[in-house]
Amino acid sequence: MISERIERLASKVRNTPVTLCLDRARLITAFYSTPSMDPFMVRRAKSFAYVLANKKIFIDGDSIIAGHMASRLHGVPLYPEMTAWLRDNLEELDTRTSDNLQFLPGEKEELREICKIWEGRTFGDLTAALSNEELDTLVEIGVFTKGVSNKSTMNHAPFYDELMEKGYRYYIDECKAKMAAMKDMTVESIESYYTWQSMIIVMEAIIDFAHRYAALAEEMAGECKDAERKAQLLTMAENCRVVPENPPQNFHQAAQLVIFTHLALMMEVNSNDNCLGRFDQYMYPFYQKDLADGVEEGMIADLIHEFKLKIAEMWEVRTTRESIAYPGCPLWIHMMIGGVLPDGTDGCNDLTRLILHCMEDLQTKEPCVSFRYHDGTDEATFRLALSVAKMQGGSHPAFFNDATCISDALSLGHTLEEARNWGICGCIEPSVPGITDFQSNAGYFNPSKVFEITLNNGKDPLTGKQVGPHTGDVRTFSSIEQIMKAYEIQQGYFLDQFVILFDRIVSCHAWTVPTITGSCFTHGCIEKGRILQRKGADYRYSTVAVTGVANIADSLAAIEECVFNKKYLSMSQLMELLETNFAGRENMRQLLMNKAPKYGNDIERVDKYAHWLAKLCNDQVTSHKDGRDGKFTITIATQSYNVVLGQLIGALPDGRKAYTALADNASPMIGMDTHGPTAAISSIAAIDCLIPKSGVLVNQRFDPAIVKGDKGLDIVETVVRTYFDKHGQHIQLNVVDDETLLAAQKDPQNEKYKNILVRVAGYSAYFVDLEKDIQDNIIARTLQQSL
Amino acid sequence: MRLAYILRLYMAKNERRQSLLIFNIQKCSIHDGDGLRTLVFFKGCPLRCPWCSNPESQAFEQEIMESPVRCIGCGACRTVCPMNAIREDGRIDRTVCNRCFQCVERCYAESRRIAGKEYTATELYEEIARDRQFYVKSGGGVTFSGGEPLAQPDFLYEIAKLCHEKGIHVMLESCGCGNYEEFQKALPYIDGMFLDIKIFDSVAHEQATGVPNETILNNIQKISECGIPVIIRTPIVPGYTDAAENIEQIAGFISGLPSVKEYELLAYHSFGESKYGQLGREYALQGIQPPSNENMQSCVKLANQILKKAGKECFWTNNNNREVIV
Repeated sequence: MISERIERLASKVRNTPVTLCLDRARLITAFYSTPSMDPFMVRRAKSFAYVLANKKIFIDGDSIIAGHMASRLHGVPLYPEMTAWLRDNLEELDTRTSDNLQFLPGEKEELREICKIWEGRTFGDLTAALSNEELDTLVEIGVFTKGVSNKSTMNHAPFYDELMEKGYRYYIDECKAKMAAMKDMTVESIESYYTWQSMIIVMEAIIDFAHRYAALAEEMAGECKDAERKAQLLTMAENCRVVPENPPQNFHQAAQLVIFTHLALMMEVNSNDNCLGRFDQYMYPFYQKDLADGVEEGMIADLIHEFKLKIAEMWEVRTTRESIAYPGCPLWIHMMIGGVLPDGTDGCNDLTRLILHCMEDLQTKEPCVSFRYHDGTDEATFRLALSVAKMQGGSHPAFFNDATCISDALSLGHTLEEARNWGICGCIEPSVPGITDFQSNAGYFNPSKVFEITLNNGKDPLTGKQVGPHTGDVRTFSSIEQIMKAYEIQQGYFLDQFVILFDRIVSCHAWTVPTITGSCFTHGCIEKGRILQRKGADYRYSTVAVTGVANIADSLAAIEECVFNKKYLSMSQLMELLETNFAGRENMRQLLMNKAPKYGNDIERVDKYAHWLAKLCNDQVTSHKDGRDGKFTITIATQSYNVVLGQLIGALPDGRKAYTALADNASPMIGMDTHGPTAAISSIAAIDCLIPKSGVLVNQRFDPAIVKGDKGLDIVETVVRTYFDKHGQHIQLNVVDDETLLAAQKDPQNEKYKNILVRVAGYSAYFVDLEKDIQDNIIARTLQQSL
Repeated sequence: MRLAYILRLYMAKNERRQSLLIFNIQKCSIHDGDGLRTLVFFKGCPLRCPWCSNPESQAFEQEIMESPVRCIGCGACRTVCPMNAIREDGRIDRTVCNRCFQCVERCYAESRRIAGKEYTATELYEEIARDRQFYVKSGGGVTFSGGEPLAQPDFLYEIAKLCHEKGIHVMLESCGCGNYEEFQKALPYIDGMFLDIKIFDSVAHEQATGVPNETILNNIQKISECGIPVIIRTPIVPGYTDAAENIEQIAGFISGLPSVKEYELLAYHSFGESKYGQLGREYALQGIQPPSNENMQSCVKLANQILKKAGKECFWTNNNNREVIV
């Protein structure tokens, strides 16, 4: 049951077209037009304060929680000082098919002017200047992508557990005390001084921003004739005067504090992947207190709905390429529920269950609700979570395994108690909120391209460029081990290049685009007087996303079986097939597909190569440290880069034709897993999910006819529990049948289909919002049936 | 007819070997026993039910299945066939084919496949054990089906024993047709059975399936007396098994079986029809429609009128839900 107010809000959020809001772009440009000798960090703090003080604000007629990113509902702010690509992509923003964003009349011209002012002076231009032709070539041909070159650190996970007890004022006072205690200033220590000063400016600015909403709410209350609405506005005003400055006193204020903080993270710099942490834990005391004070649970449910809708409204403008790779504009704002507490006991509580029941009533694209599972998880809560996840057209929550994620956090250096508080930052990457500086997008690394280059002795066959070392003519190779050895050398070389590029970018972050809001609420930063980008946090790690694992496993197995074991063809013949994209030799392509084992069917002979690749990537990546002295991790995830990067890769020995999509995430190649969910899951587990410290992304689609009823729930429960027994890290269920998806594709306006959520990769998107080829890709993913 | 049956049993006996032909291993199954199960289909059956949805289960030897939609027209089969058995339309002329399987080996698109893969008991056990964790979590296990597992008692004994001793729950799905003296050694390793009684009248049974049913009913009686939990099943095939008299007679027989608590009716479906074509065979039941829900419900009701008195229950599964009509 949802209230009429929430129904109206939900309909507004869903049906208001996303439009570009120039408010922030104008303000930031105006701010930087005024000369100043402030150090870059202070100047950055003041620029943010200027935006918060001057941006247009509004309160929606149905809202009781204040705050929006832009000057109108579903407006998207722009960051012209950050994004060099904006000037190139500007013209197509309102015409492109993926993430189409409209301008208000006349504003497109104005944005052109703003971009002209910033031309050659953006953060993106700065990082581009630090790259070189060689590195750019590797990005262009698809060996890897360039992460965060037009944005600063993302993945902020504020210490909400502590914020709830302290409020911003406590941190401001801490900074002030630090500054007061400072005696002799040196060229080194002055950095701390300016850091604390910047933090104070930013926190005061967010408090003032809240007060602006308080004043607006009071003003609107004064004019309001409706007694109920008037009371709501006065409550909102009161809340905005209490938080975020002071500790919240009830659930409503606590939710308001989180919204203001998250808005600040999103508005200071363009970002995504900011984590809400363990919402059902830090909000639980307020839930209990409110109930004791006579607040009805229905009111708290209403607040949860509105809170989620406020998160769902957040949007980010991306490049055209990214809009295809991340269809449906996911921001990966994870809300963690369930899981063990720091003392090892189960954390499921009444609020956990209320959140799940809220999801039964209303599904939203964000936040990503993620359920932490462990052996001792309350059975009823787990079953409830599974039954929500297997709702037709629904897809939340995703399931994460405590055992594996805690192991990940421990091996990244956390204490057991810290590790048990892990949350997801990014799409499936565990990190510990409040104490970690994590970077989920160091970039995507594309083994399929490296494999193609290996087969061509260091040359990219599509451009003819010699981009890698000479590792031998594979036509002369006589064993699979020789190919693997050559691959290992090539990959080692390209990962070195990857790290060189990433380190240049993160070093740039430190001296240009500090994330001051995030730094205020991450332990270590205030203490050291260092922002996150200058090693403020005690724990630092970055992850490299590895794509198309299935394609490598299947390709190696196909070569081993068809060339070296059964001798159906020679390496020369294989190379000729790949060069000609199997033209006129469909039978040989069928041979490679059908006569060799395929990953996804629980066959050791091929699954071992998936494991080999994951371990090799992990070993090679972790031999490096990143530019802020952080550890590297890997995640097996593609989002929809399997489609985007696939367009840059020629034919592969697994029978995949040139330029077609690679396998998504850790999934088997499309159509190649034919032995049902248990076999698919077992193959993925054979990667050994304990190796990648930032997760292994698994989408498992089920036919709704099969997962129906209690028996269906039993099946799903068994699959999830068993996968997690095998150290699986993440699994998300997608219960949509082909007919529905095909119908939705044909009739996207139909209300029946409009709100079908599909899990594309670590997040949800509305199916009808996706590009047609992505839709096709989703439909083609093996529909797992249990017979 | 009877001669053919004896001959087939005899052949099966003579071909008794270390390994066995399995025509399918289907994981993550939910309809033949509790929990998630692996279904292992033995190849070879003494019966010839015309409604059989797995026609490739019947012969005791390997067969070629053709799937024309997969054919890419490369013509490789024609070049390797020593008998010139590939017809104009690309299909095999089975009157000429000597089953050398060379065309299958060369059909990279898998437009031709061999039904029946040899397994030793150890190999089969290893495949079954791969899903062990799923069995443990769900209370599932393995279900041996067919074909007719009881017709290959030595292998059944071996594999059931292996599974049972390793703690895997073993179910058997069978039409009850086999030599009790031979298969009884496997019974201690079987945790439960689904036994089919298709038609109660022996003459009608023989007319429909090629085999009389005295042995079957005797076997069922004996198995039941061993104390193994048994569910009796009848496929409701319009015109063959759905007569009220047939249901009543079976229900009456079940009433006296000590270890049977349940009687399950299965609705006939024609999903197997295309497989007859793939084997180059005609489907005898063409055009016969599956029984309606109402028909199923009235059969269940009829059986329950008899069974309830004996403290037993008849049900059918409608859309994943167990339906008991009283």
